[in-house]
Amino acid sequence: MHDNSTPTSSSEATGCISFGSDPTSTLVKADSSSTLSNLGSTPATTSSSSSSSSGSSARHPMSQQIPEHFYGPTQLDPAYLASLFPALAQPVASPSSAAAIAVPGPQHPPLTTGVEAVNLVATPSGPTSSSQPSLYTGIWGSSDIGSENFTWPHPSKRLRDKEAKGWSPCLEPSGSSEMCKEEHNSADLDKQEQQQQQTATKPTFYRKLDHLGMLEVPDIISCIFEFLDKPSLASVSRVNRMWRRYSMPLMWRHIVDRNWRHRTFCGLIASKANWVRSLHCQMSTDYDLLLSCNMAHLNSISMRGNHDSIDTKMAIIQKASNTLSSLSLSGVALTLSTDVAQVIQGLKRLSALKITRTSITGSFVHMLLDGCPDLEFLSLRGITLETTPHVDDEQPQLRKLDLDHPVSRILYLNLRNVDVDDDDLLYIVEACPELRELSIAGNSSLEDFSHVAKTLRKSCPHLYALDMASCVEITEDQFTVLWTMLGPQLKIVNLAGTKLGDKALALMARECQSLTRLDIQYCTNISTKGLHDFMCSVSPTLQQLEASGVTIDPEEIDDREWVCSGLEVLVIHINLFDRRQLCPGRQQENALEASSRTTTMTATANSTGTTSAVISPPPTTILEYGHAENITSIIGFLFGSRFARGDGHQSDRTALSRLDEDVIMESPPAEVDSMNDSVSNTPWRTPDPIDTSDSDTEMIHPEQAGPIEKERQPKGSSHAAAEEMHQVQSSAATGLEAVDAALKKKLRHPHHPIQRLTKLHYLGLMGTGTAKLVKSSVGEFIEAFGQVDHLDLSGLSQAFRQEDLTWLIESLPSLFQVDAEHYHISDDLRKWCRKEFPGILIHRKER
Amino acid sequence: MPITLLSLDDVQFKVDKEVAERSILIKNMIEDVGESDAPIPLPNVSSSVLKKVIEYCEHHRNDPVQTQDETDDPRKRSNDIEEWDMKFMMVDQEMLFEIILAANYLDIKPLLDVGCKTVANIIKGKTPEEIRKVFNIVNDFTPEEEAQIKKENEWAEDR
Repeated sequence: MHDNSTPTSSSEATGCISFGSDPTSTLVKADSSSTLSNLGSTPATTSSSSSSSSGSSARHPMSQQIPEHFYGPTQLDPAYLASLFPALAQPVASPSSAAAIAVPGPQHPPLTTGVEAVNLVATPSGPTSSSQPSLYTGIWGSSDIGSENFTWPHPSKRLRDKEAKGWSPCLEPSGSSEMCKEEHNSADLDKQEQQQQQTATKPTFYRKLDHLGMLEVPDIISCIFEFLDKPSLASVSRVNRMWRRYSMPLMWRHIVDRNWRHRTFCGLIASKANWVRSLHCQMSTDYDLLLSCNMAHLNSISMRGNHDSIDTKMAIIQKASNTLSSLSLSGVALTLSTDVAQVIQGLKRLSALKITRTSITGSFVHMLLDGCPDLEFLSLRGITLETTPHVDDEQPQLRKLDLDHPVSRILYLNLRNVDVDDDDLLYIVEACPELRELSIAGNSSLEDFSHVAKTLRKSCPHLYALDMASCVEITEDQFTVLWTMLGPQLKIVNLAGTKLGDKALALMARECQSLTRLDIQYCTNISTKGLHDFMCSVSPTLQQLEASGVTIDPEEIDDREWVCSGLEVLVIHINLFDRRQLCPGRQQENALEASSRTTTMTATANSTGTTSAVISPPPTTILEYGHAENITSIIGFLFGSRFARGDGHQSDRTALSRLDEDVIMESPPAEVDSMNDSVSNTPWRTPDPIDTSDSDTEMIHPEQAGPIEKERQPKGSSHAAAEEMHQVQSSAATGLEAVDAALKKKLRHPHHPIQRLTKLHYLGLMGTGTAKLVKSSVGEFIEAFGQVDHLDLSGLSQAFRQEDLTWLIESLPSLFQVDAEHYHISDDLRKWCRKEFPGILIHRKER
Repeated sequence: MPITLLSLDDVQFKVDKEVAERSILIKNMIEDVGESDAPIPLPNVSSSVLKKVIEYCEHHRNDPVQTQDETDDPRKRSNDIEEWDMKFMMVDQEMLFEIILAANYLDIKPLLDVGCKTVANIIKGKTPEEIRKVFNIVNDFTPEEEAQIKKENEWAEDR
């Protein structure tokens, strides 16, 4: 459904493909078309009459309050004005001061956003405005549309549209509990409807003194409740009847495994089955009970964990065959037979499928490609592909491609850690001409990737994202072919941990003219010069570059020469100190003298987690101090920076990664620390880098779902890339205890990007154990980051005390948010800090 | 071409078309009827609120348009408000509610979401009694009913 309606670029840019629901752009259309029909219709039609009544009531108070012969705003009744603007009520003392209020001059602060406040219309009232048509003819006069019946779309309208489309959350299950019945008897419903109608048609005007009326607009209540976690929903359901009514369906919408451990839940599930939209089943789920429930709106099932009762599981899936749009089967059997594929083929609306931790045959894959016409997203991550028994099969099915046959519509295909060989991959790729995003990360069976590249070019003209992380067998020459073949169409490429070298990188800069995101973490064949040259010639479309683990010598990099003006996120590690600069012989002005102490500086490797199977050891630099008597210790930190626009729209992730993680829900919906009213809780690092098989975070760029959602950079101010940089991730190294003159000198080094961090507002400190953030040691260091408003402490091993925190907060005048682990900031300390510094948000990650 | 918006208290605001069209309501109106110099009356929005709404739209003028699909995301979070928005929403409760009402009326989904997230964050971690107090809501349950609901929904409080 997306290949036509959603242009490639937009789906990529917004990263927001979801399945199962029809694209609801019709909502907009519905609005506009009904507006049109209202315009042309007679007042007899219900919608137009109800809305026109709203139109008249909107002006009603005006004509009541303002005598018609009054022409200027100066003569408005002050009491009336006070009722309009309760906030401004105090200055209202006389009619003359009331006039001052009405005129947006002194009372309204100058608008900084470029909005021009315009004076009151000279004649807002009077005979003309009191008659309905004339107010509007000004607009509609030119367009010849019957202005008399024109009505403004109403808030309630959206709701009605949604309800018409089954969007309403208040679908009552057939056999609900007595209380539900009592609550939803017709009289009550009528009352609700009435309230809704009143709230909707009554203009804000009337509600001025009762803004809490908002909490009676069902549309808004539902919208608020959407953002609540289950415990909060449980709390909200006890507030009053209306809130209960709107919270219950949401509470039952996503069922997770642990819910089944509660007897009350099991007793109620059958009666609430109609509300259930998604299921996450594991060990606690009562599959037999589940099978007996009629879940008419179930659209997502995720099963994982045990090998029992595969037949019951299949029956459950089969039962939902009319509604199911996404299915995830993880380790439900050692081998999935083709019977399972048949069940899957029977799912009429299936658009997303994920099968992991099992083995399947080639025939199974063939059936998926062949028999699921609506399948758009397929992930077979880490699956064992059994070789098709060639003996009884003259033509092994995976090899066979009948071109007359309808081919698959798969847009997103994840074959991460699946050892497909060249022929299998060729077959699959040819069967998926609509392919947008492909992951073959971790593949080590491909012999000649250049052949695949040619096929991709021929049969997948829409392909724009390619994840080849940790494909260690692919040679530099094959990359060269790849760029020649696919360069122009590729936008997002992950090459983390591959053999990519300077030559292929240079060609990439030339060929990939629409590249927006590139991941070359731990491509150890890339030299500093290679990266620098790349940055000097790459397409200006590049927005994100992940290059941590590529060893970089800051002396060889001058970011003023870089041409990537569109760069928003850059992750590089630069050694602030290296041997040459710290050797007194090399730089005489260096304050380091005496002693022959040696400190080992270790980079904190960004735990790239699932990205690469082969993570190179963190780069290590040995620092040697010739004469350092005066130095008690040294701050050595690796420096990584993130240029980020980070506007909170998840445009930084591919649909593939998003889908794999989000659409097929393997974990319960966000249930966050309710004590925590802070912003982002996404950890910088993938929490568990080891368990790739079970990890749900499977992304082309595993890091980037992280903290790049930062304050928006004012657009249009795209200067040199370095000036856009406003986040820094600095990795504090072992032995961090003090800052000395050398560091301060270093910070002024003409080539070091840190000096240009004029917009830096995010500072992450990822330590390796002994680092301490206390005034006596790193005072001046911290003070150099005065503009930082977001501090991330993750990685430090320190338990903060009141005085440390006080000092930190006072040294960073712009500080707004502190991200920390629980051991950094205790409950008591947080409580104290809330009282002491109410402007600071302390956000602690989940235990 | 700038668009003129007219608040319910007859204050005119001149804004860029691009900014005004963050509101789907206004966008549809302009699409349906064509551009015109005449002000678009917004009879449900007062000038103080409209000013805030326009401030939001100005700041987000270049955001990609949110598709409806995204709003069906099962994993809605209230803790991902970006900092500008969070500061923008630091207003008194009445203004917050007025902004939400206006966003709903004007059909500015991202603003509605941010507003609702803000309210959701107020609700989170509070007991029913606290919630009622904050929003001035009358409890229409009998104590028995409330106890029963509490029992019924106990499973949902399990983290």
